[in-house]
Amino acid sequence: MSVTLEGAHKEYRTRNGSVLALDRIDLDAADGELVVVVGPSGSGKTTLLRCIAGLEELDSGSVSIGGRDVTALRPADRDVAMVFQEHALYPHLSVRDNVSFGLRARKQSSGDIRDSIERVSDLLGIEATLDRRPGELSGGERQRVALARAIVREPTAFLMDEPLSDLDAELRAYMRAEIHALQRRLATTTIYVTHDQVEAMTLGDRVAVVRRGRIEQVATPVDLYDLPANTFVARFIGSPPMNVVPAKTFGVRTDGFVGIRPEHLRVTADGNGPLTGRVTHVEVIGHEAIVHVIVNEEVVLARVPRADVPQPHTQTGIEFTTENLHLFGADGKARR
Amino acid sequence: MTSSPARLALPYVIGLVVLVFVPAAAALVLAFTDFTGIGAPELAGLDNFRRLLGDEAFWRSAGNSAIYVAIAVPLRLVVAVAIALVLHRRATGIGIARGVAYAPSVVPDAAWALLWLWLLNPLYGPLAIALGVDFLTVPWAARVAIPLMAGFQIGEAFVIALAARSAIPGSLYEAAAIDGARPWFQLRHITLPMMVPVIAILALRDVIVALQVNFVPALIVTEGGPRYATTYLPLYIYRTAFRYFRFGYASSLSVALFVITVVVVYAQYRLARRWRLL
Repeated sequence: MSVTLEGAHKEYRTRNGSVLALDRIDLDAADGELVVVVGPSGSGKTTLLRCIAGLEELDSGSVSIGGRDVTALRPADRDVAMVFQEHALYPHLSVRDNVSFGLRARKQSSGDIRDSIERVSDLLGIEATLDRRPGELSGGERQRVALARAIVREPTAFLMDEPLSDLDAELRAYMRAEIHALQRRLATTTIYVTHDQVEAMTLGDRVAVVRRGRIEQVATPVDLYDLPANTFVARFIGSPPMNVVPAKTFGVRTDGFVGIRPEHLRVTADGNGPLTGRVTHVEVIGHEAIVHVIVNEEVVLARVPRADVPQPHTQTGIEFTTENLHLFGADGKARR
Repeated sequence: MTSSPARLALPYVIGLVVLVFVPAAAALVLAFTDFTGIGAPELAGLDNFRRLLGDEAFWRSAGNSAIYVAIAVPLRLVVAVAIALVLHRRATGIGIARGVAYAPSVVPDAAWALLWLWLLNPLYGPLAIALGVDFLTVPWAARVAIPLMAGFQIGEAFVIALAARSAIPGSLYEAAAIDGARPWFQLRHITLPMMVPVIAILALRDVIVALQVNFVPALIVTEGGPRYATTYLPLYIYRTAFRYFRFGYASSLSVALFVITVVVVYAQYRLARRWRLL
C-alpha cells in the first residue's frame, strides 16, 4: 500500500524559539516501493519517519497509508512496523518472545503465533536463536531479529531508521543486500532512512534527499547521480563528491556554478590541456587514485586510473568533455 | 607505605571495626553469659538459647515481626514502584512532586512517630475518626497501623525504582506502541520485567530493614501494645536489656534476630535465583 505525506510540517519548540524539523514535505511511496530518505544528520529524516509511524505529531499536513488518512491515529492503528537504529529489542525476552510481542499484544491465538514465528524465522534464518536473549546474539543476528519482528505482523509498510548503522562495514554490505532481497520478495512498501549515500543508492527504488527539513530532490538513484537538481544534491551523492566550482574556473561564461564528477576528469601526462593546475595531493585507492588539483584557486578532484597518476607538486593538464558539465545558477539550482 | 586505595578506605574500616565488628563480637560473647550490668558477666553456656526456645514472649515477638514484614515490605515496594512509575516522566512540577514523595523519609523517626500518634489518637486523631477504627487499642488495627506508617517512608526505594525505570530505553516503548501494545500490556511485559532485578534487590534489602528497624514507632506510638501486638523483636530485645537489665539474654535474642534475618534473606535470594529474577 502506498504511503503519502502531504504538506507535512513540524517544528520543535525549544527555550530559544523553535527548530524547524519538517518544512511542508510532500513525499509519496507507491505500493511495494522502497523509498530511501537520505540526508546529513539533523536534516529531519528521522522525524519524517517518526511522523509516519505516529510517534510524533505533525503541526500541519497529513499522512496517508493505503489512501487512508492516518494523521490522527495512534501508532498501533496505522498498521506499520518500524525497525529502529539501535534495534529496540526487549533484552529480557527471548528472540521468540521478541518476535511475537506484537502478535501477543494484539491477542492472536497461540497457534497463529507459532505459525507466524516459524514462517519468519525460516525466512530470516534465525531458527537457532529463538530461545536466546538479545544480549547473547551477534550484531547481525540482532539485526535479523529486529527485521523478523517487523515482518511477522505483515504490516502495510515498513519504516526503517538507519537499521544498519550499528554494524561493521562488511556485515552492513551483506545485510544491505539481504534487506533489498527481502523487500523485493515481500513487496511491502518501505521507507528507509539513512545518512549513508551508498546505502541510499544501492537500496532505493527512489531516493529522497533531505536537508534542513526540506526535500531537495526525489529521483531514482541513477537520475540523482546524473541529473542532480541542485548543488547540494550534486555534492551529497557520489564519493568522492562532484566538483562544484564557480563557472569561470572551467572557463564557462555565466555567473553560476559548474559541476563535474571526478571520474569525468582526465589528467594529461604532458601537463597540457584545456585546464591546468597544480597537483597538491594524491590518494591511491586500489586500482584508482583521487588526484587533488588546484585549478584557478579552486580544489578539483579527479578520479583517474593508477597508471595516469601525476606526481604531487607538479603542474598537470586536465581534460573533460563539456557534455559532462552540470550547470547550476547562482542560487544553486540546476540549469537544464 | 600502604597503597593509596587502602589508605582512603582506612577511616571507613576503622568505623566498621569499632562500631560494628567489636560490638557484634561483644554481643556474641555476651549471648553465652549471664550479665545484668552489675559485676562481671558469668558464663552460662547455652542456657540463654535454651531459655529462648521456651520463651513465649520471644516467639510472640518473632510472630509480630513476621506480620510486620509481611505487610510492610510488599506495601513499601508497591508504593515506591508505583510512585516511581507515575513520577518518572518529565513534566512541570515533577521535581516538587518527587521531593514530596521523598519528604517523609527525611522526617526524623521520632517526629514521624509523634505525628502518627496524633493521627491515630482515638479521641481526636483525624485518621482514627475518619476510619472509625481505634488503632491504639485494637490489636489487629495496631498491627496494620505501624506498617502503614512505614509505607510512606519509601524515599530510597523510590529513588532506586525511579532510576531503574528511567534506565529503560524509550525506544522499547515506541516499538511496543507501534506493535499495538496498550499501556497495561507494556507495564506487564516491559516495565515490570525489566525492573524485576532492582525490585528483587529492594525486597531483599527491605526485609532486613523491616526486621530490624521498627523500634521507634513501636515504642512511641503503641508502646508495644495493645496486648503485645506490636512488640517486635527489636523492642523486645530493648526491653529485655534496658528495662529488665538481662544483657546476656538480650544479646542471645540479638543473635537470634541476626540468624533469622540471614535465613530469611538467604531463602529469598535462593527463590529469586530459582525464578531467575536476579
